[in-house]
Amino acid sequence: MLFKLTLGSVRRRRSRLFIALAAVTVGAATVAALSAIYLDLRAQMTRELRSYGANLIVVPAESGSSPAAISGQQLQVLRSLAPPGSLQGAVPYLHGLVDVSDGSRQARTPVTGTIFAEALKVNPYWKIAGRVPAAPGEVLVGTLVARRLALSPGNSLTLSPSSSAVVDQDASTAGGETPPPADRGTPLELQVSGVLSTGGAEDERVFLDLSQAQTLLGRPDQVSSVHLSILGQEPQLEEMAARIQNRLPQLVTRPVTRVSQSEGRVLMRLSLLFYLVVGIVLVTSALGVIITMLNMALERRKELGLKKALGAENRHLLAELLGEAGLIGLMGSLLGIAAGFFLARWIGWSVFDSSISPRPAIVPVTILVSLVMAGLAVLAPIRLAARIDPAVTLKEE
Amino acid sequence: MFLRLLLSSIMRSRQKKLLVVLAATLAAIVAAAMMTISLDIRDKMSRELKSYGANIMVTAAVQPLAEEAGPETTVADRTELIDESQVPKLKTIFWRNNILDFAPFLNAAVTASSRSGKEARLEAVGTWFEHQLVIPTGETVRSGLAPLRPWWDMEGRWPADGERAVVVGRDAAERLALQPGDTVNLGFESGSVDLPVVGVAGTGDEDDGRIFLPLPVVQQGLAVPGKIGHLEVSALTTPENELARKAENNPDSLTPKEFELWYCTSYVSSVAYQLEEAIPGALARPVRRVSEAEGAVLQRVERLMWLLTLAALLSAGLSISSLMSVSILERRVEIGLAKAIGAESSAVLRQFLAEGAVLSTLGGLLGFALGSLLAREIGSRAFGTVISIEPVVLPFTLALSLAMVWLSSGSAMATIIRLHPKEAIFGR
Repeated sequence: MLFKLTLGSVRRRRSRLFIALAAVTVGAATVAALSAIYLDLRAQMTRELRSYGANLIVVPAESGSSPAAISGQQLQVLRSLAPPGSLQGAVPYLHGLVDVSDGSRQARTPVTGTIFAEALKVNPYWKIAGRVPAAPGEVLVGTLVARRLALSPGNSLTLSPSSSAVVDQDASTAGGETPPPADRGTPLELQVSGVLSTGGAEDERVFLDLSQAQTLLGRPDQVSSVHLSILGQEPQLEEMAARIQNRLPQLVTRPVTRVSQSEGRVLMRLSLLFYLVVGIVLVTSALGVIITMLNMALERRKELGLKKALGAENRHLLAELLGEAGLIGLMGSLLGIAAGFFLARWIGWSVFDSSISPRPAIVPVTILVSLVMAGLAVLAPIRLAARIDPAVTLKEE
Repeated sequence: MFLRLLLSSIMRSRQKKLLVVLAATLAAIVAAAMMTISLDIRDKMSRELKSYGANIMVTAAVQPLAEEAGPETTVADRTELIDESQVPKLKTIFWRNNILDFAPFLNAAVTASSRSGKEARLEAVGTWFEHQLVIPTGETVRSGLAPLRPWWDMEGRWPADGERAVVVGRDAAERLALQPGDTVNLGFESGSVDLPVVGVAGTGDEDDGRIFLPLPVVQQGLAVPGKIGHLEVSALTTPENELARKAENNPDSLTPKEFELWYCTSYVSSVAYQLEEAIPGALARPVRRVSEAEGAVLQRVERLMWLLTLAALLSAGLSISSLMSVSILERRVEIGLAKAIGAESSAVLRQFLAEGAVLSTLGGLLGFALGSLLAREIGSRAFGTVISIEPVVLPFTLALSLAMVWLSSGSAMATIIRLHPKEAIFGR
């Protein structure tokens, strides 16, 4: 009976119910879309923030006798210690001093051997005029060095091991002075493939392929430091540092506080903002549904009065109204989930240039929210219906 | 006559009219709040991102080495210095209000030794810690290292303006066995000086191995009075786009119109360019690790905010439209009657649209006020700072409110007007 009544009522006022349904759908779609986005938002923003550079730096512990260095094998171990999917990049650096000469000018220059593919992963902000070295005979020259020596892409230069033992600029990071290596390489003829600008210390250095640098500086299989870019905030970084300490106690790991702290704060602000905005949208949708249903109930006073006059009790009317609300809520939520899915994908592409994956958790959440909205909305009409006096209602205009 | 009809129509069945105003207010609140936040969000997130550190580095312009220079010359030699007296000029550029924090630096290699007998060769950094600078307009601005290093974990305190005291990096302090309250001896080429340590800083980067002194001490030590090596500047900037990147590579490649657009937008490349204009002989470079990260975050956040605004408006719009259609449909009889006694369709339409305009304006004004307050509340909760009320949002709010009311009532109206008066009054 209830079913027949509800169906009949729905058929009779299709257009009004359709509008109420639309309101619930929009609310549901917004909830579904925003929930999907939020779950991905943190992940997306964390990835954006990783463009800020390394958040973990590993150096060898200070030791008196042997030159402080990290070996190639230790580098591999470091890479394997990161949780799967979280390692954006691990770039090794070998620092030293060389004599640079381009034929007419010469000077002593800090030089760094690295693996360029990894360097670009960890430092996506590197701006290269020209191109990154593709073959071992090519170097990347910092912009200040390029100005000093009047170098541009295509020029040749010669790097020779520095004759005097001078304190390496990055001694403090590498942990103590590097004693003069026993076996220095021969001068290298190289070509400038690009000029690097970063606004930082890299602008004053020359970068070349790691193995070439190791040969040139007479430090085979050695690197001065490893910079890691790992997805995550302070807890994940501390965990990684602990793991490294466990496996490779001869290395010292430092989280780069400026990076992790800033990221944490930015993410917190974004989350707060997001919650507040979602709150606004939900409240608006809910109020919209409430207003619509209230309005509908107001105009149904006569119909409800008639039913009461024919013998319907309050609970029958209640059941009918609740049935309608339930139907709207359920249908609205299903439509909303579908619409929300497309909305989330659209937002994902416009804001983050990547797709947002659907998550099953959204379905129950959205249904719940829609039913609550519909339920809240129907409270006022129910109160109205209960208080209807058939005699009064049927008589008035 | 028209006005009288309008007024009497509004006054009738006030309850229902009130519902319409309520819905319009609701929509207006959402519109006003979201628009106000979106306009301000870039500024607020920008300030949040200042915790990344300085985004512009100013050094002396680098000249090519003389061809006779021998192999003893190190590329990193800072033979060119900037005059300290030029520093106030950075607060005179077009984008002076976007320059938030700045500090000068002069580095030197020193031999540091402590009372406990430990000695080490370190890099000493001369800078201002907290300095009140007088700029050419006569105003005083706050400058110094403290705001540029918000992530430093300080044991002890920062030196006061003009105080002859030092801050030691955590690793350096360990090597020299120093604590706040100890004295450290710093040996320059020209002589040595004893200074009290007032702070030990945990920095999480290379600064842990350095020692930070008041600028005049290093200037004296290197015998270069009134000179500095470089400036760090933290400026509020707009995310870079195609135009900005083109300009950064070569400002001369822009057309005059493009140049003006670029110059008058606070791109980091544009601010850097203006700093070079203000300080002769300077080279200003964006610190890319900071400016790129800032740009990426700001761009995403802005886009997200506007999309959320759209979603919120859609939601509000539907609420209004459902209400409006229902309330128009209710007045079938009234409309049918008006037509039956001879009113033209257009006249009826005008009447209803005017009514909608009045109600939506009321709702819009109220909504703007409440929405702006809501935005301020959100601002203080999410950002801890005040979001300013933007008057430019008002006309948009009113326009949106009007559009929503008209669009939703318009379609319902169109249906009814097409009906024959008899059908409208007595139903089909």
